[in-house]
Amino acid sequence: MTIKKQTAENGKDVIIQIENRFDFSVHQAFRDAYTSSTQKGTKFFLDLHKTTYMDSSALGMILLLKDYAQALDGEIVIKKPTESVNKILEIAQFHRLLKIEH
Amino acid sequence: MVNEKVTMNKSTKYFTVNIAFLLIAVINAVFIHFPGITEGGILIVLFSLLSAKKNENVTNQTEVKQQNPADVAANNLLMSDVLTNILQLVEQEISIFRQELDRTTVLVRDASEGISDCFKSLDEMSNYQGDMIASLIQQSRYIGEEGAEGTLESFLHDSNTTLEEFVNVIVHTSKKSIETMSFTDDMVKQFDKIFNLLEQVASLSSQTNLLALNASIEAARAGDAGRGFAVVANEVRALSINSAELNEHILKEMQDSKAVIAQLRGSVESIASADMTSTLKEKDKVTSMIEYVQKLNLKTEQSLDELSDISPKIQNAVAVGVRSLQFEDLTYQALNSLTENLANLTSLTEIIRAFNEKEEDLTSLSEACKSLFSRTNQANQTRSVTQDSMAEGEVELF
Repeated sequence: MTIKKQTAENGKDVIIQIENRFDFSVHQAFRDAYTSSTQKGTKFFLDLHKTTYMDSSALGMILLLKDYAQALDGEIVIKKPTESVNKILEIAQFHRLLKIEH
Repeated sequence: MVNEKVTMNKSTKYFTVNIAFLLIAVINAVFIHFPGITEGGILIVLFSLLSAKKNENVTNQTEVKQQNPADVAANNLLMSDVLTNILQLVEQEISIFRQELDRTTVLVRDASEGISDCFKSLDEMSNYQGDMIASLIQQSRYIGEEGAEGTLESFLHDSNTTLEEFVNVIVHTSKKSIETMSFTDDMVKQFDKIFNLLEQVASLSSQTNLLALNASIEAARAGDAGRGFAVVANEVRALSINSAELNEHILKEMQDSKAVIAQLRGSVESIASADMTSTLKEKDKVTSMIEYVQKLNLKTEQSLDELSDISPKIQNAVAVGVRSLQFEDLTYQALNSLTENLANLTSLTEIIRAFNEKEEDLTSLSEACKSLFSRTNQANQTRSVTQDSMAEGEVELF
C-alpha cells in the first residue's frame, strides 16, 4: 500500500502519508483512511513529501477530505509537498483553500 | 618766399605726423573688427612712422641749412616720392581689404543660409520624430485593430484567469467523479450483501426441495391414503426448483450489473484523472509571458519617455541655434563698418593725391587731414556701440 495512516494517541491528529503516485488508483484506500476517523475536530495532516506524481483526481480527493474534515469541524493541513506536487497545488489555487506547510 | 618755404618745411613735419596719426586711427578701427588682418596694417603703420621719421630728419637738415632753394626743391621732390609710395601701398592694401571684405561677406551669407536651412530641416525632422514617438506610444499600449480595447498585458491576464477557471473546472469535475465513485463503491458493497442474501435464498430452496422429496417418499409409503399428499409434495418440489431457477436469474442479472459497474468505474476514472502536467506547462508559459510583457512594457515606456523628452530638447537647441544666427547681422554690421573705414582711407588717398598733383599749400593739406581725422574719429566712436553688441553676440554664440 502506498497509503500509510497514523493516528495520534488523542485520536484527533490523523497523519495520512501518500507515497509515489497520488491518483485514481488509491481513491478507495484514501477514502478508507479518513472515513474511519469520525471524532469531532479531527485534524488531518496530508504528508506529501514522498509523493512524486499527482493528477486532478488527487486534487478532487483532497477536496473531498476537506469537506469531510469540515463536517467534523476539523481541518486539513498539507505537509511538505514535493516541488512538482507543490506546483500542481499552486496552479489549482489550493494555497487559498487550505493550509500548506513547507 | 624763403620764409614760406621754411613754413612749408615745418608744416611738412606736422603733416607727416598727422598722416601717421590718421593711418593709425583708421587701422586701429580695422583691427578691432579683424584682428586677423594685421600684417598689412602693421606694414602701413611701420611705413608711415618710418616716413615720418625720415621726413623729420630731412626737415631738420633743411632747418639747419635754411634758405637753400635747391635743398628745398630736392626736399619737396623727395616728399612727393614718399607720398607716392605711401599712396601706392595704401591703395594696394585697400584693394586687398575690399577683396577680403567681399569674400567674407559671401562666406558669411552662404554659411548662414546653410546653417539656417540645416536648423529648419532639423526642426522638421524633430517634429516628425515626435509624431512617430507619439503614435508608437499609442500602438505599444494596445493590441489588435487600431482603437481596439485591451493591452497585451490585460490579454495575458485574461488568459491566466481563463486558465485558472479551467483548472477549477477540472478539479471540481474530479471531485464530483471521485464522489460518484465513492457512491458506486457503496452500491457495490450493497450488491455483495444482496449476493449473500441470494445465497441464503438458494440454500432455502434446496432445503425445501429436499423436504418435498422426503414428503413424497413418505406419501408413497402411506399408499392410497397418501396419494393426495404426494401430489402436494410434488408441487412443493416443483416450486422449490422454480424458486432456485429464479434465484439463479437474479444472481446472473446482479453479476451483469457488477460488470456494468466495473465499466462505469473505468469511465469515471478517465473523467476524474486529468493529467495536470500540460496545464502546468501552459500556466508556466503564461506566467513567464506576463512577466516578460510587464518588463517589456516598462522598458518600452521608459525608452519612449526618454525619447519624448529628447524632442523638446532638440527643438530648444534648434531655437537657440536660430537665435544665434543673428551673428550674421552683427557680422554684416562689422563688415559695413570696415567698408566705411576703407572709404575713409580712400578719402585720405584722394586728399594726398590731389595735393601731390596740384602741389597745393601744405597747411591746407594738413587742415584737410585734420578735418578728415576728426570726422572719422567721431564716426568710429559712434560705431563702437555696435561693436559692443557684437561682443555680446559672441558670448551667446559660442
